[in-house]
Amino acid sequence: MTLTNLGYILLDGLFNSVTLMLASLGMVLVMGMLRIINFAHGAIFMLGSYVLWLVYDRYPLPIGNLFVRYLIGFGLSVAVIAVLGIILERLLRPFNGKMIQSFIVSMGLILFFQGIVQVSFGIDEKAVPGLFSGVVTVGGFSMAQSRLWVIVAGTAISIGLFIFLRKTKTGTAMRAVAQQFDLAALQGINVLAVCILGMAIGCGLAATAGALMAPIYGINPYIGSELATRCFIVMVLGGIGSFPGAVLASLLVGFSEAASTNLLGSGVGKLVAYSLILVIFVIRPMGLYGGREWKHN
Amino acid sequence: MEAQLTRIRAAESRKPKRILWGVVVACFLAIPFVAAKVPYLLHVFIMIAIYTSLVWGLDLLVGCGLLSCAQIAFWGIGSYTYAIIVLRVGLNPWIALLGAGIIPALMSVLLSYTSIRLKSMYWCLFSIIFAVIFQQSLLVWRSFLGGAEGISGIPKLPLIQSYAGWYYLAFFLFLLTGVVVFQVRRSRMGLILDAMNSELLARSAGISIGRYRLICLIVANFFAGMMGGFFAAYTGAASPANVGLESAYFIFVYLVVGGRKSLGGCLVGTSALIFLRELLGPLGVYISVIYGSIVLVFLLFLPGGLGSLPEIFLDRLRGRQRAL
Amino acid sequence: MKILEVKGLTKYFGGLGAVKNVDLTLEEGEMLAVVGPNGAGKTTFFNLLSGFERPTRGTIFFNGEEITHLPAHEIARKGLIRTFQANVIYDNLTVTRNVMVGHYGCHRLNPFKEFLETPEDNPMVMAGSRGIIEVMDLEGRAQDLAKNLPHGSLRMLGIGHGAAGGPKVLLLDEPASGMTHGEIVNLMEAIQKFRSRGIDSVIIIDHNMKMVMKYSDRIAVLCFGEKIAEGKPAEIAHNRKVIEAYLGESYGTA
Repeated sequence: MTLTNLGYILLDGLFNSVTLMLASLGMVLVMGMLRIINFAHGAIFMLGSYVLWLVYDRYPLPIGNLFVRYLIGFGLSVAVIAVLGIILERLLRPFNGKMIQSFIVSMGLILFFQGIVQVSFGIDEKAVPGLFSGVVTVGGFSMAQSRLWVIVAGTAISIGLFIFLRKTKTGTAMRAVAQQFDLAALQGINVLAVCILGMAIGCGLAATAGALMAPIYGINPYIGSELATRCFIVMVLGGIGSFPGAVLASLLVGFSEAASTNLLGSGVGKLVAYSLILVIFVIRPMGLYGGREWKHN
Repeated sequence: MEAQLTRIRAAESRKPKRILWGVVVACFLAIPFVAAKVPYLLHVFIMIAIYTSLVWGLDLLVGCGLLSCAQIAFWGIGSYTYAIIVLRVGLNPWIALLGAGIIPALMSVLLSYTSIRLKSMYWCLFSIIFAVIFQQSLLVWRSFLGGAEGISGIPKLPLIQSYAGWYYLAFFLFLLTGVVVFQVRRSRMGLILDAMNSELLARSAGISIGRYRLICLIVANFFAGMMGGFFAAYTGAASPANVGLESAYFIFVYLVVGGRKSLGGCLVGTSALIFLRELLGPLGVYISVIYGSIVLVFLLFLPGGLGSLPEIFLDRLRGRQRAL
Repeated sequence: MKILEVKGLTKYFGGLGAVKNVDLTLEEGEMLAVVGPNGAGKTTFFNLLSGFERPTRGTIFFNGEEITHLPAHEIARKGLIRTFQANVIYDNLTVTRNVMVGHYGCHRLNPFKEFLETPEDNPMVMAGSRGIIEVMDLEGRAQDLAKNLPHGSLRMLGIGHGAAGGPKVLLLDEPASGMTHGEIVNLMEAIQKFRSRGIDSVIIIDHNMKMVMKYSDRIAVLCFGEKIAEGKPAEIAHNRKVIEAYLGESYGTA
């Protein structure tokens, strides 16, 4: 393994981790609000990518500047998906805490969303024009500017989320509801409003990840499925329902994916990464920050 | 005396059901003669036989608290096992078919270790990851497993010369699965499986959750594997298509529509949904939307599935009688 | 003979000590009551005994054997069975089948026999279940679905389910909760009948002090996870610490 390899592993790892972190934090948030593992989170991510593509490339707004157009598309994608999240919250409320039923519902949603996209836009992959076409070269490695942009933007948004959750009143209320909703209600927190907002943000984060990744990888109806699997792994490794756990686990998964892909090639690399993770899962199902029993409605 | 009375009462209530099933079996046996001119119809029934067996197996697993997305993976493992045993190891295809069931059953033993350590929801995630890893290994391993094209050129099973032959073999396996699942449900073991609904109460009654999950895994995956082996023999190939998560979800769709613990409901539901799929033909891409919508509708309006209809019907009748 | 010996049993949930260093013994044939104000750790104590929670420290010996770290189902099969405070019962099974589950769980056969036999096939089990149903006074409702039973009958069914496993020690967690006075009398009669039929030793958690005083051989009092008193009912009634712990609760003894 050469220094170049190491460099690429670092950069790819950062890229993977940041995007995965956004989606996974969204999933943890949704879980804290709904008390279910939202299996359809990947489908929401996929829809976010498609909304961006629609506004940015398919029916592009008549704005010359590519970057501005992208930002508008980004914003619209997050907004639309956030609204979708609010609708979903209403739909999934009767299933709070009920694992089996919520799994079936989300599974139905996945098929439904994937199906709508398959039917409307076809199953083939669509390329989404990148934001920047340049390459940044530092001391021997070159990295695509568009990837760097994703890392920077993703990190900024993550930090923003962190500040929101830790420092603002609403964010703290959200964490309270996620941990102990009945105590939170006793403290005078409007649990319903917080849940709705949390769901909106959680789905919005999925859309954010989708919008960021779309220009890099292109889109097809199945990208959600793969992301969902990676998010599950992150959730489980980090401990179900834990924010710091999700952050750490995203780094772990992101870097191990990067390492195995760079050293072993993409197909085998993915396989090895997943298998290792599976083994860890079996040995320590609690994850890094797990062990906390979370309450059911 | 009371035991005798209970048994007599139970036997009486079973009579009409048995007659019904007898008729169904007779119909199924007669189909190849009726459909002699339309071999495509036989193909559809073969698919129904395969998927219904998978649904029945999944029903057993869900009853134990195992939401298994890995069943389709074991079906795939069965296909590839059959292909490998026949082509690479060179054994008799009938032995290979048996092997296609036994290998997944053995793997279930390994899997059962995880089912003890992991709670329901975690195990569900585990099964998803397992299914993904399985499909990925198929795509990656070019040399042994043929990569994305899979293994083809599997010679026909001796004795099976026509569509009708394939149909009867599929039907035989399907019947076998049905009989085993049915007997499990009505037996002492079935009562214990019912008892696993409440993990807390089951453990306090001395029921070893792990042991019974293992038994269900072995049964469900054995038949899933056999059906996979059959499919490989039938199509002459084993491929990574149809073993993905979407296919795994389809089995859940069939289960939701058919209804938990209802052999008949699952048969009717799966048949209807598969016919629907075949009827779509060129519009096949609509299947996901349709299946997804159907699941959501059923969950909202008929969560017990088709299998719960007779009881709802009877309750309404009884309700009306009392009102009179 | 000491059928149950608990030494230094401790359970911490994070920083919270639910059970702290509890010593307790149960003699064969005894009825021991565990009482204490809410949050005293009584249910956690039962969870520890029956294997539903792992102790942080301490040992539990049952019938001369150490069962401290055994899984719940194995402890049940060895003869230590617990019931639950909430009505945990199989709603969609009949009363008879509910009781049969209690039996079949503890008496395993090999998988093939279990596969071939139906639950009603075994005449001994049928007779035994009928016996238990008679004791619980539920004969008239033997074929009814459990979900149609009133609360009091459900509590009884829970006990019957536990008794069906043929335990040597039965742990009853607040069996009388929500019962009317008449139902409580039936309950205690049923418990005495079970005790005369082989389930000699019982540990009962309850808040009904009158009932506890009347029926138990000995009482142990837990408060904030610690055992603050133990002895015969008359001794406990006059115990200073106990009276302080229950300050405000009168139960009619000086």
